[in-house]
Amino acid sequence: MKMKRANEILREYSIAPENILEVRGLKVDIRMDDHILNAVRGVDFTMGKGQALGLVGESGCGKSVTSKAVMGINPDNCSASGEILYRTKSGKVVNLLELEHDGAAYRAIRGAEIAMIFQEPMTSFSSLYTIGNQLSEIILLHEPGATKASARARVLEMLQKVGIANPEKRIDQYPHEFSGGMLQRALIAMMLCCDPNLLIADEPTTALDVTIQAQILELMKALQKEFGMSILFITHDLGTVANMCDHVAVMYLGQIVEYGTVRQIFHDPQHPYTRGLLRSLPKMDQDRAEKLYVIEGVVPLPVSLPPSCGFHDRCPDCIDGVCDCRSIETYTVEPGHLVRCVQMEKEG
Amino acid sequence: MAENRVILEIKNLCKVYESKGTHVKALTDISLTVRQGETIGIVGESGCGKTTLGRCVVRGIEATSGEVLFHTEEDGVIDFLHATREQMKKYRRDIQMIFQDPYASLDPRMTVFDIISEPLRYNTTLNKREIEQAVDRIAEQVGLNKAFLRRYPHAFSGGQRQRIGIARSLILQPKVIVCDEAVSALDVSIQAQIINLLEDLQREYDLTYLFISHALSVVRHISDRVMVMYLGRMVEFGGTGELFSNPLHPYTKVLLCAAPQPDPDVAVDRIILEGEVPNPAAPPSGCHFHPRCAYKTERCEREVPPLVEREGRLVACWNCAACSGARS
Repeated sequence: MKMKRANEILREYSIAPENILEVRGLKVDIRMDDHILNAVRGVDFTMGKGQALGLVGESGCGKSVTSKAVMGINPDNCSASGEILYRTKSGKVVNLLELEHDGAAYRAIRGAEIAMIFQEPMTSFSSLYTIGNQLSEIILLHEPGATKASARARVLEMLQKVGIANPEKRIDQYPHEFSGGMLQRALIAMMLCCDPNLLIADEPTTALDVTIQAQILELMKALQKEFGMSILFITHDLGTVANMCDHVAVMYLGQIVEYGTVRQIFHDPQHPYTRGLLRSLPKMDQDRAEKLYVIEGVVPLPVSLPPSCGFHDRCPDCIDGVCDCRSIETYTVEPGHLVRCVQMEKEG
Repeated sequence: MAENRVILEIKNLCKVYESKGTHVKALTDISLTVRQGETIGIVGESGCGKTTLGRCVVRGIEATSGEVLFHTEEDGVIDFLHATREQMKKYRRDIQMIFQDPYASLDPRMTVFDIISEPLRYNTTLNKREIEQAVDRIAEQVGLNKAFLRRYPHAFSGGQRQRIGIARSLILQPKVIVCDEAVSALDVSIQAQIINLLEDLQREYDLTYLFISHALSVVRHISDRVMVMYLGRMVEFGGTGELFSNPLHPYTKVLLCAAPQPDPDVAVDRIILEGEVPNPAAPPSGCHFHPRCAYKTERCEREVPPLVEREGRLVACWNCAACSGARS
């Protein structure tokens, strides 16, 4: 990657005052040995202050690649284009895609302003350092005046906040002495240490048991309220999204196929894929004899895809000669409810 | 269901793991009667012993004590855990297993044809052509394209791999299949395909499933009866409908409301459990669940509650009369 000159980075951007993040036309290509994966194919979304957005979809839909592009941690064989506009704590709007991944500007944002928690708390920590050591590192890195003693005091406070009992003892323990649920709490404490604006949570409860998952989700809700941060929630679990988020973006094959409030998505889904996903879940009140609804086929590999609707070959409502031929626009079916499907054109 | 014959009886099954002088009781006194053609759901959190139970039944690991009685048509009742070599050779094929991770459970250096046909080569005297026919038939049934059978597992998606695993489990025409988190690693749309496939196959071959899973909505959908486990013990067992609509054991109640529902307007009266599953090497005294239980009494700390029949179900709780009165 070529170094960019500082004055080139300082181009002026602006985003709506209520938003802290606007992603526009994001595309991410991943170079493989003999082909290129178009993992993200033009994604637009905005995130309001203090709001939770759920990015849902099945494996390979590009939800994790999208979130890593925001965090600036995609590997070197990925190339991103478009704009990721982020309002820093100082109020300046920057395009994260223009920053060097390992440059000082990005490092000042990553961790301190945009924090991320991952699916497997067990592999997110180094096994060689104590929990306290790893949590205070982030404070020492990001806060100029911090001392070891002040960082330790803050870590203790945060461990207490995330509900870890006996933090004075736990702070000097190693990750292997923690259970999975406790490690996820510690990870949440770590990202809270610098009071971030935006938290990216990539499948934060998928590896946990249901009773522990319930604890962690409640904790995240409470902390979101207390700290007023925005959360980008990446998950395939529609139940979690319905409980945690204000808005939902459903992704399929690198594109957002439907976007709306949780109520719009769960009570009035419009895109055939969203409808199919919701119908294919076994319901608690469903009759045992009833067959599960199935979306036929599999997700295609995102290699040299035509501009047609990505879902057309699995779609029960596919219109031959339209869905498989031309690119599909996004239609507004209701204020704030966007659907990428030609069926909406007929109706609207 | 009642008229179906008993096919499998698990009696007082115990398994103790030993390591560096510590003993972990993974299974304590599990008893279960399974009838042909039914699906028993086995639920619980990690460490509750559900996988150990499944593996003891197929004798993937040896149980410490107890019996696994398999009712055969020719030779009467056979105790799987104390069977002779000849008996095992003859009947092991009747109980098969489907594994959780379709990426780890298939040998990457074998073609799909070899993977599916391997059990036939070891357990039958079929010739090459007959084996090919059998594999073709089963591949078609589980929805695998015959043209791809000469490929290796890496060329298949997760759902396709799970179909390969199912084909391999079915090729010897077993009677009982232990499904250990068989759909947990799959995406939602693929999960529905595999669940429907398992149900179709069950109807066609009169298969009996032990369906081990932590996903309650899936268990609710597929099972006739459900067993809830906590730290190696059965805490509740009963018909799916009754158990889900009126859980008796406090732990069952918590499990049922813990999973978030895919509806933003369902006001979940969620009971958030304090604490975590205790260390199974040093389980709490009395009822294992008492440190996390909202209804605990002094007796729960001292004495282990026996499994008793209540409302046509088995439940192990000293206070379930009190707490079922207080249910939401």
